[in-house]
Amino acid sequence: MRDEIKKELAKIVGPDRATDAPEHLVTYSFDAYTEEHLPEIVLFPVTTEEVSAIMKVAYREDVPVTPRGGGSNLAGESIPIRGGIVVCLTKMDKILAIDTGSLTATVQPGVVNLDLQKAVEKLGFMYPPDPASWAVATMGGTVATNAGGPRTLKYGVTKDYLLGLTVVLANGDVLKTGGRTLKNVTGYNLTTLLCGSEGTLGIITEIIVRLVPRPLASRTVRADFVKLEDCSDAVSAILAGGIIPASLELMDQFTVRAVEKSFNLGLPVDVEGILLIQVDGGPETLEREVKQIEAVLKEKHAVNIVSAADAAEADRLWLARRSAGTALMRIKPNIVTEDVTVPVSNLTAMIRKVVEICERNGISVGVFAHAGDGNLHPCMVFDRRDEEEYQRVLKACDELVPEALALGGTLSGEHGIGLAKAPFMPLAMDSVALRVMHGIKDYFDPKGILNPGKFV
Amino acid sequence: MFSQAIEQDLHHCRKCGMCQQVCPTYKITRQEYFAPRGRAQIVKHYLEGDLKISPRVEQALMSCMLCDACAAFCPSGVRIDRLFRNMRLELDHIFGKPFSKRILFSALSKSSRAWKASAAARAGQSLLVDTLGLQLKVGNIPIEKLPRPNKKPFRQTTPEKLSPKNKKVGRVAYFVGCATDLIYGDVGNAMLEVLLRLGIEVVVPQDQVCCSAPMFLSGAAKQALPNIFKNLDIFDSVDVDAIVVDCATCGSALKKGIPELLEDLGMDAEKSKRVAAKVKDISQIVAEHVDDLPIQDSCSGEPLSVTYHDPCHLIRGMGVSEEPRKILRSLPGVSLVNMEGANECCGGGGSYQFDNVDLSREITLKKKHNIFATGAKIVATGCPGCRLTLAGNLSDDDCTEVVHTIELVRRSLAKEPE
Repeated sequence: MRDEIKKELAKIVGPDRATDAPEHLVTYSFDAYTEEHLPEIVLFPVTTEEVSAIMKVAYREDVPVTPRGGGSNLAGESIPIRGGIVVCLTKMDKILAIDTGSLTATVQPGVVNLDLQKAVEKLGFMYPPDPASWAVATMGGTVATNAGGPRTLKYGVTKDYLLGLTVVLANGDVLKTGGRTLKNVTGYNLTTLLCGSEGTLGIITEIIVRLVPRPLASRTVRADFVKLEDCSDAVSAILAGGIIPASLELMDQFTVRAVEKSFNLGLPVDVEGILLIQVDGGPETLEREVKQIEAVLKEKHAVNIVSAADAAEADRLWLARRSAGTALMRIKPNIVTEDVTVPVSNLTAMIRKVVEICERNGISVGVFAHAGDGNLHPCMVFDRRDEEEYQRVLKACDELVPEALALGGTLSGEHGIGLAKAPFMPLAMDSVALRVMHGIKDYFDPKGILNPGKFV
Repeated sequence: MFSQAIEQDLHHCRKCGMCQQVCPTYKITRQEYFAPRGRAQIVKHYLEGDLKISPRVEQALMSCMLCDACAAFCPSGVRIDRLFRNMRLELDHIFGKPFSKRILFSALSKSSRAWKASAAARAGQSLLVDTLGLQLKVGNIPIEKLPRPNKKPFRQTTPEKLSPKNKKVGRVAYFVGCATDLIYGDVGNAMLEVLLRLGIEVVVPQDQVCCSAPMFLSGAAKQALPNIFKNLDIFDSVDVDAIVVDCATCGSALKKGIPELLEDLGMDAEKSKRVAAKVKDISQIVAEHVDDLPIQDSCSGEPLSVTYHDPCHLIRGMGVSEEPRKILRSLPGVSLVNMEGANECCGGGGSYQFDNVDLSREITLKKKHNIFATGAKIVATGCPGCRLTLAGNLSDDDCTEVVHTIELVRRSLAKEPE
């Protein structure tokens, strides 16, 4: 990038919010994926107008722009693979309005998900999308990746709560989509189109989301299974029985052993799978649902069922699941958290496949899953400095994806495509779907400057 | 200079970004450059040879408060604090220190110099404020809110050995930090009184010196080592059940920082580990024996509302947080109110508040807000650095007093029988 362009860009936001110092650039060359690439300048706009002015310059000069939030994303969405500008939106961090009368909140993209959760919770409401990274993930990032979380099974993902957006397009135009109404069928649903577009269609600068009342109570049950098949059969049986838990999580033996080794929580290390189930709602319904779930678990040969009597006990049960990623991370320096998703009925088949593929490639893997929605997180642990091992990990990923697709699944449940999954797009979508996607990209971003090198 | 273990640890940072949520400087700046993950990335590039040490590299490392919150929280278990401290040793190697720091270190490396500096400060302070009425600030603290130094160094006012009047139940050595020695002598007196009333004999080795944490945490290992070795010789040879500290920073230095520093420098750390095993914060000893304390049970009127601030070096450096709370709950007439973010850094960070004035101020403001929200009349804490920061930033009209926990214990002691 020419120096005078950098100067022009820096002038838009002021010298305090622009930098091209190498010491600063290295801190914006990565996210939680394994690759790294340096940008040429990092800008921290605080208004839609500033973002628009930045895009006008970038568009005129054909400079690549990678938008970025907290950078906790796992598929490489915020790595500026073609250099250029990183537009970091973390300083646009105001909750602009919470309107409990019409069940909406309006926020800037840099608001951290958990901060919004806390703000609405105080008022008796809940914003359901709750990615595991919610304490650092920004709202802009969660919208751009259509993030989910443990509550997805009952409450859905980000797109299900998104009502409207303000988005700066590649040429600097400001697009407003949707609005503050819960119902809206005016024209194409551009809001949903932009949700999950990973910064390839525009830069989100304002977000309107829907809130729901906070559930009155919740109950947690843990069940241990000798056989993995029984474990996932139980998942299907619970759902078939007409109960939709808020969360229904599974951990395989490797994961449970890793957690036990690191944290000594007293988990059974000889079982093939553990389920954690949380139901929420009114107290009377919960009582009935827990009984019904316990009956199903027994029928599916659970060897041990623990129902938490109170919140503290529930917290202890959930600690095992919350510690899973951490425990796996401590085995080796690096980790790829896969994100393939299959229909719930094929969960066991997919887990078996994952383990078989990783064993064949000599890779250690632990699997935990949002079992209720079929979203698997096989975590492959490795050392990035061992190039040969890293190649084996990538090979295992290559082999995993077709298996998931063959089982009726999808490339990504919630982490997105980014760099990690981009090569697999032709496997997951047919030529017609790809053609339409490229047409949309060409319309929104004719010069291809928005987050280039990513999935489209 | 980096040890292999530390370099290995760096590669365990998987850049997940979870450290952002606990890092006081990231929460203010919202920039990776001020986040543990970003700083680790800078260290990585330095070690790989793509970045040379520059003022910006120095700023990234020196703007870290070393509050240890990231290391305590890191899902991958990366010892980020240790990584940064090692990198600071590297910085010192190349850069040296600014003039103000060199003066500070020169003072801390020799007790007599420290006392002269403190006496000069005492004279200067009263001259500027009392005589000339000037409104000056040191870092973020108005000069009139800086505590007046002791009239005489605390250690010089104390005999080498103090024996309890009643039955002796134990024997401890007292490591007197610079803060107590030069400024907060009352804390030292409270320590001694409480220990003696518990029947504990106290040895106060006279030739002990500064723990050196302010030096080696800033990267000045060369200035720190002679002090460290001197203290280790003294406290390794004294025959006691425990070595007691009233300063969170001294405590965490003796308990954790010094053994790790010596290891990182490839030196023999055996003696430091023997000493470390005996180090206890005063609140640990008092909490253990709180039922044996002769506490006055004459509670009248409204209970005094007290909130407790966890010093970084006490909660994460020494693993002490329940003990002071237990003590406060057991004092009659005191009601303990929890503040939000009690375990978050106060923004002081030793000399940090003088080197990073703006960042420090923002962090302290948050703390101040949380303290006010409790409505407490007193803030108790266990670190003179936090005390200085908090007292210096709480305004006059809110009437919030900041004290060391042990001082509240002393205030509750029953009068000694004649």
